[in-house]
Amino acid sequence: MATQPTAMIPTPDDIKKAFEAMELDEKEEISPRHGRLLRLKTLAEVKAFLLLDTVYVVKVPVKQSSKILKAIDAVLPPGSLANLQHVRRFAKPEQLPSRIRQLIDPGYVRPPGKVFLSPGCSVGNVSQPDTVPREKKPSQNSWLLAAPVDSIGEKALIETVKQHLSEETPEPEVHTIQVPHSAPSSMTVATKLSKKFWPTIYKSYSPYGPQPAEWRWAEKELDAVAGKHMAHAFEAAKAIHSLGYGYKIGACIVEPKTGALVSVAGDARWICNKDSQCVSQSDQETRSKGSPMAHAVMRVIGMVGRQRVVMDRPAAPPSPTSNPINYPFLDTALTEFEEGHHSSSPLVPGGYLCTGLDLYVTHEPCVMCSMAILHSRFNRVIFGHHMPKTGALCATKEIKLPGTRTKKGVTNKNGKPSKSHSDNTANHETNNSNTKENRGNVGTGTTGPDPQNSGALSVQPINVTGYQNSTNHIKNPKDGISSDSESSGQSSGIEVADADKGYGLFHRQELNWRMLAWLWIDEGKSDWVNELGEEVSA
Amino acid sequence: MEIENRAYHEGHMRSALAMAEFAITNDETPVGCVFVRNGEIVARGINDTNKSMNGTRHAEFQALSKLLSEDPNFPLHETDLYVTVEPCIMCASALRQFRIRAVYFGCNNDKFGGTGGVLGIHTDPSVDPTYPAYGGIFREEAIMLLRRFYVQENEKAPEPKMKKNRVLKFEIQPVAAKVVIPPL
Ligand SMILES: [Zn+2]
Ligand SMILES: [Zn+2]
Repeated sequence: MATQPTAMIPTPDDIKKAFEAMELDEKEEISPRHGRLLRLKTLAEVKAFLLLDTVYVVKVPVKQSSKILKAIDAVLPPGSLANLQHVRRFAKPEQLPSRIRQLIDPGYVRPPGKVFLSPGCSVGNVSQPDTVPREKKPSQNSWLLAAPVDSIGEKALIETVKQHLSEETPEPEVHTIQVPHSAPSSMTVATKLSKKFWPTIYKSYSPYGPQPAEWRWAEKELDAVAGKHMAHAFEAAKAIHSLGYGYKIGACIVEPKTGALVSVAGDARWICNKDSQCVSQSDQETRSKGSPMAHAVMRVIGMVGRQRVVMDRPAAPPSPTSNPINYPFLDTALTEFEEGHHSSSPLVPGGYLCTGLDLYVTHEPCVMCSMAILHSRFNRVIFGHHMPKTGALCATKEIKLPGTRTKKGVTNKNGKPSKSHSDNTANHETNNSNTKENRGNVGTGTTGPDPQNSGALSVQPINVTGYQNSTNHIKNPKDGISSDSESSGQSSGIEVADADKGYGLFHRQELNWRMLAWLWIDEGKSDWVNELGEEVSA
Repeated sequence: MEIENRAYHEGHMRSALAMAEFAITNDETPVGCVFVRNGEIVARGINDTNKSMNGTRHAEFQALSKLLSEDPNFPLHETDLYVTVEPCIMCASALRQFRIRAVYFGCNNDKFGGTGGVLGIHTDPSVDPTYPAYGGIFREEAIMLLRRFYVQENEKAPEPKMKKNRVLKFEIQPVAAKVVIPPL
């Protein structure tokens, strides 16, 4: 009897082969891209950050301070202080920024003992030169932030304060100062604002957009998977581009609960008939011949609609065979890569448009595509390359990546605008402090080190529309602020000219649908390059 | 506002309104449009968002798709659009990228309007050429069609609020802006 191979026990060779096969499988899987997410700033946030409020401050004896506060609040019109929830009402002279103190309290001398740099930021005992005179006791007076100047007259304010002062007390000292209109976006920013304007409080609430907790909650989920999905969008871009159907732009839609891909599509703007013929090379250069309907985002959304129709309306007539690619909508698979993700839909019947779904796209979508995303009611959007001239998601034309300097009007050696003007890899330095609190906001349009690039802007719940109508806001006069602690001199109140603002379409109060949106900062291979001209709409 | 060619524009807007009427019978939002070149209607469209389960299939896109499927090189830069409701931001951008010559619309789109209603996509600084947009042609008729539609309950959209108490209102507030019809 011939010896039968004992198939039950795998030999070491079998095991090796099995592992090799597994590795092969994995190689066919697209490897995730390395990178991180950068929160987009909303337009409301960009607008609000430029504003300073002019307010009265009045010197009050510590003993009478709470009575005076109550009296003032009683005479103010309701809601006068709604926009000032992020600034402290009282500040000891030693808590004031030295610039402000010199202005309103020049006679102040430092008491012995602890020196406060900013609230809650004690540096312990600081020995002082003996030449500086000292008072015996801590200061007997506090500065009270009384009210915005447009809510009460100076005379009325003084009268109200005087009611609570003894007759021998001299006339109360009243000054006007400027405080930041919008709340700080992080503890770090709060400290900076406190050193420059007035003691400022950091609170985790934003009236200008998604809440910090919302961002963090979403990022907890997306940090782990965004690279994988962006890799799919990128592969879709490469696949369509290699066939000459369109630019190297790709998108994919993901069902976040299961992580399943719903649809994948690339840009197919050059296809000009139902036989997948493309416009000529010379026509492609004029740029006007490409069909906006075939932008990757429009196509990938169309694919979801088709899946829903099949699922919810089995009786619906099939698309005509004479135009199988459904030109000009082109919302069917055009490449093998797109085809590979259409076998089974992870959607469930009864869903509505793209509600609950996430969109990944290699380039910032144009106005049309951004609004299509809104119409489709996506949950979240992550895009790759910022398109300053044609993109519509960012609220500013320029974006400042954390730890970098902004490139403005970058030109290449030929003096032409650089193709990779908005290319992130060319622009960013590695920032290892990628903690949740240190996430950057996109689009502050600053130069130099930016202390505001951490965390989302946060403030007390207030009536947001108030800031648009109120008159006591002025654009931060840059020359009027000489920083006492910063070399940049621009730590707050960054002015973004109207021309430098973007549409910020992902989150606008008036548009009935709002999403979370991030810029994907790719830290992977050098293949992540924006090959699009800056005038191309993605 | 009396102008010479008012009848011309009204004639085309009447065709657009007829399309909107047709949309209502198809359970679609009553927005209708026609594209006109050399005085002749070259394409008609109605909203198709419900049937296609695609929120981007607005009337303008439907008409454009017909136009392009027949002739991918159709000279849209010599073509005007007549649409019963101001184009939304998406369509306003699409029309600009397609280089439409001019847009004539009935009533404003306060929610999503892209040619003045919410944003001015037709004239904002951008890489594509601008186009003029003129509103107010048969505005009341366009609004009445929308009202007729919205009193019917839209069961598909997962709106938290019930629309039970919707009643058809007949009085239409006058609009501050004048009807502007340019000479041809
Ligand atoms: Zn687009
Ligand atoms: Zn539209």
